[in-house]
Amino acid sequence: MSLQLDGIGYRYPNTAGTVLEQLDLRVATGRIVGVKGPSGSGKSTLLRIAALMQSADTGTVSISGERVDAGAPVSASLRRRIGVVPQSPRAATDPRLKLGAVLASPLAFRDRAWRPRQGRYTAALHRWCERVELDPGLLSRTAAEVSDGQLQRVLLARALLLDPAVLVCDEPTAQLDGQTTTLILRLLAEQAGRGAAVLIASHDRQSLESICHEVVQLGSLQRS
Amino acid sequence: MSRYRVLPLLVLAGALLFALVVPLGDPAAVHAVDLEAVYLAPGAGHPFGTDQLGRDVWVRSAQALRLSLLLALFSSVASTVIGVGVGVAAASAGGVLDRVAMRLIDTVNAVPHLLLGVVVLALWPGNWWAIVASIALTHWTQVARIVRARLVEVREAEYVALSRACGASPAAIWFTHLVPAVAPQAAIALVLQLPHAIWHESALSFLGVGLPPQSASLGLLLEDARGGILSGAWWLLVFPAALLVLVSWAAAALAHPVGFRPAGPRRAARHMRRAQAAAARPAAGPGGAYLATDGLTVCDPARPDRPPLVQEVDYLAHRGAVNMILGPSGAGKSTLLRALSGLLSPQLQADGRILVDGRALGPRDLAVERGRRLVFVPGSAATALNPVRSVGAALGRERRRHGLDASIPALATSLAELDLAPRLLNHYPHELSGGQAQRVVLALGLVAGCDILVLDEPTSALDPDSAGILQGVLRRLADTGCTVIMVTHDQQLAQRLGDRVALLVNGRLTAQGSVAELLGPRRMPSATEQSVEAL
Repeated sequence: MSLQLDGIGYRYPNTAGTVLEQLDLRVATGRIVGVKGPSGSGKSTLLRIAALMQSADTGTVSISGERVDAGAPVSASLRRRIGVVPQSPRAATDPRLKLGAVLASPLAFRDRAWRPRQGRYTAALHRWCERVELDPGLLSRTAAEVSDGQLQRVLLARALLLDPAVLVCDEPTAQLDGQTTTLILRLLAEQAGRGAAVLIASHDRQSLESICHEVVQLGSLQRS
Repeated sequence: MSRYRVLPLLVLAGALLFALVVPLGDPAAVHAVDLEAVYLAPGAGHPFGTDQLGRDVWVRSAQALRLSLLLALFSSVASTVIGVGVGVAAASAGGVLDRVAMRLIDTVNAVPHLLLGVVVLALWPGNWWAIVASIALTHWTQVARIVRARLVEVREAEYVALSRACGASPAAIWFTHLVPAVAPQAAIALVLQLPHAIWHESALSFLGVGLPPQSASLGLLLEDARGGILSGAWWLLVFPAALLVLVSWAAAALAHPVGFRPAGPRRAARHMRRAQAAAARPAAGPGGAYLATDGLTVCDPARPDRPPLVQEVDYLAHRGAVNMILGPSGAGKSTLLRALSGLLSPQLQADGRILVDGRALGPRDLAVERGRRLVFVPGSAATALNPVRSVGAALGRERRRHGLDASIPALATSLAELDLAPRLLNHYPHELSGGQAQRVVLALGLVAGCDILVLDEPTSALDPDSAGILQGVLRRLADTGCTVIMVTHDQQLAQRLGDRVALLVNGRLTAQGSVAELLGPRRMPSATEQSVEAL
């Protein structure tokens, strides 16, 4: 239940200069590591690589000891062990789906459904709504009909739904109110308490310091 | 259903009934020649008159409409199927196949449709399926283009990446995200092709390359009318032509995208009443107020069961001040901000007044003000920028539009004011970080200089250094007389930067006043915590 990055290198296509070069990072089981760095330093790219949403040019990512080399295909069962909390909840939600379907999708995809339906999972979804303090009535709405804070709660529940071994959060509390921020940080800490390795990028120094065991500066991760 | 669709639906239903029922009564009448009743004017027995062979135009029109509709339906379905197939293949294969498909579309579009249709029919004359093929083979290109563009766009969406990241199979991605995004587009394309196909079939038959002359289709009937019209038999032209026009119009009207809602007389009257009532009250707020709302309510007419998003808000933003709007998530902060900027989604309905400098502005006035005196900076800045225009191109265009110097040094200077490096001029929006994009959007908004700057959570996605720079810029703007209105959830920021603050809870304004009154003296963390409790 750990996350390990070895010798990660990445450059944007068609641009000079690398964003990430020979980068190492290890998040042990039950630990919460925060990444900070100025705008444009590659935090989001690093997190997408760690979550296996994007392949690096070089290096390997290990999820609970299972190694994935740069460019290698990733199995669905490995993906299900990684939870992702996105930076912008709006962009990360299909505007045509009801929030119930959005929330149920990890379960539905695991059960090989082609299209997520909340009906089968109602009891589980309602339990999760309670955990993220969300009115279950909102599950019958679409993303356009709820606020950013409510949407981020849905996406947090979705990330935690399959009890992930690794949790990757890109600015999970940006643009949210104090109450939602507190809730999200608490649930992330709980997941770490269950043995998950949690990686967070944030500008919010205060929330980073309040829950992270360790905060690293992106520039300092390069091999010397 | 919208009432704007009832009439075309009735017309289409009537036409279908006519086409299906009338020939059933006397199937033989379609081709029954009666040389003693040639060119009879409409009257008893022959409601639409008779043609040059004494055949009944009423029955023949119905039969013709039936045939034309059937051929048009087959043609539209066939062309939609081909179009969707090519679009899906091009989008999913990519690379060479994609480029070949796109060039094929260009080529087909370059050939005159009627010419291609005539060639196909010359090879297989008089066959109904040749007509279907000739229409389908020339009209699939538009569907293919729409489907491909939509697929490529949705496939790259963040929500698809997230679904893939939680283990969705390719089939699940298709049926969860891609098909629902493409299907409505394909359906609209299909319905829009229907009238076009009717027209196309008629044109081919009229030209004499369509169906055999003895059969009845709208095009053949019109061709027959050519001879009759010279001898005064106007009914031969008028009735089939009217059917063609009515059915084409009804099908096109039904395909018209929804969401278009002109202000009906009832809404106009309500606005008038409200305006009169408002005029009776004193217009301007207390001294110094620049932007104000008066009983502003925003609700979703499609969801009458839900409480309004913003309810009876009387808000005041002061000139030359940083006006903060604070509130928990879901309180309606962003909705209020969008209403102030005249950017509400068209599905929502706003009532009440918005006053700028004591003058009430309607949504249309706000749209005019926006971009001139009122600048709106959205929260998700990256999506607000045109993805195909570099930062330099966007900024240069904006400066030229206002008659300002658009040289590279001038552009670099305006970026430097927001602490952005000159090299970013060559970057495209997807190459910017969240913080950089936010500042580029602000730089674009500030080109013309503005009176009212409206920002939705501008600093939340920024690192502390960039946030500090942005706050400095906002402070400077306010000190030079600009009205800055910003939504935030960050109490400390409100206390540090704000002059005035308004608290919004459940769509209602619960308090507003100076920061010192509501949040206590500046830079006092303990007071912040208390007001968090108060929220």
